[in-house]
Amino acid sequence: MTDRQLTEPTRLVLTALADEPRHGYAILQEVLAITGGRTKMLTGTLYTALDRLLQQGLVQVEGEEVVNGRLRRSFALTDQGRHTLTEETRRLRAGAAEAERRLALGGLRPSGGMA
Amino acid sequence: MTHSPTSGAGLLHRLYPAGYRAAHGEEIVAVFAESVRRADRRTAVREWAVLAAHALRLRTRLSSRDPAGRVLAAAAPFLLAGGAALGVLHLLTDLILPGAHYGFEPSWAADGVQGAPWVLALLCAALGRWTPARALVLVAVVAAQFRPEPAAMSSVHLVQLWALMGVLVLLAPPDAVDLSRRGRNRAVAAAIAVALPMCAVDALWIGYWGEDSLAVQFPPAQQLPLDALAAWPAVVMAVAYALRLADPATGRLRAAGVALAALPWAAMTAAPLYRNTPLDAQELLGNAAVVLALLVVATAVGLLRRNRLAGAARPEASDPLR
Repeated sequence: MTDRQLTEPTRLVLTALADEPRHGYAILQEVLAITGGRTKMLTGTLYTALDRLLQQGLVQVEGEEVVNGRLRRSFALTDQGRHTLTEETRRLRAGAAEAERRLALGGLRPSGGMA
Repeated sequence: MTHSPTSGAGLLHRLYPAGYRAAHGEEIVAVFAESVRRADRRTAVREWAVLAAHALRLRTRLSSRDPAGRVLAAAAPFLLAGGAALGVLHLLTDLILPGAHYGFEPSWAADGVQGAPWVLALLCAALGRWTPARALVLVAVVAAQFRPEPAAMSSVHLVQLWALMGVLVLLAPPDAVDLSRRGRNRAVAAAIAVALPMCAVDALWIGYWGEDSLAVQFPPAQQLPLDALAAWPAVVMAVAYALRLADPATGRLRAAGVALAALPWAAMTAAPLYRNTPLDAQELLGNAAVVLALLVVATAVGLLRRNRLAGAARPEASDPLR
């Protein structure tokens, strides 16, 4: 368990890599899809996050291929990255469940003036 | 309006350090070119600026993957807390209290207002909004350099302390700053701990001196504890550092960042004025020795506690973001 929650770009990159390895531009496209088009991650933000995730061992380079004469890496979650994303998902789910519970309690209260 | 995919890509490529450029430069530039191919000009400029910042951070070894970057990122909330505490102090003693005692004095008021962006920046950070917090720190640092009649400002030398803190905050890689609720609470607690005693002392003394505060001479029995109080902000930072170091789940670089946040306070002057006379080299060295001594004690206490807690076996405790 970490004493820090993930930043949004980090969580989005980990989520984009959760089902299969992807290369840089594919991660950007996946983030756009995951967020329903609301978040257009910038290239600099992506590679800042990838550099850190690689250094922390949460992501690894899965493979390298040459496309149009350029080397292209594809990235994948490590076991530690998968564990971190699982923990983060659990934390978010608990927060959402608590919010729903309180909203439901609020919905049961009679509307009207203050006590 | 679309943007040319290759615009600025060459310069971006050259901004990266040679090793990184050779390994990943073409890949990044290709992703950049693809990203801006159908982007409007505004998006393209943002893409370029953020990627240039990434390249420059790698070149200067201040990225979140570099130790120096991680130390700065850990220091940043505490530096911001310190700057905001000074801001509160000057809002109180240059704007609010003098107005009540001596009437409105424009030069003092201008002095006090300098602290406002710092306070607002801490509020933004407390809400988890680091980007506006950084923008406000930038405003504070730049505005202080262009203030009118600097010699008239009673806290003129503190501008340098603020500037040092501000530059360090701005250099910190934003993606590695701890904006968890606990991290934000720590920063706010540090700011309150620094500001409260200093504000209390100023509030107690504000009617004691005349408008010409330079002429105030305190008896030695009073001046000695007041001089000692100059070390208070460094004491707070040293305690925060010891607490971080004592936690086995906290990486040592992250703890070292808090120690870094204590160092600028070597330039602090004595209570109750906290201003006016810039420190001479001898005073600065004396203050630096006090700050370093505090950090040595904090290191010893923190490591002892850390080793004891680590011995009590918490094998799962780790901070992967260290």
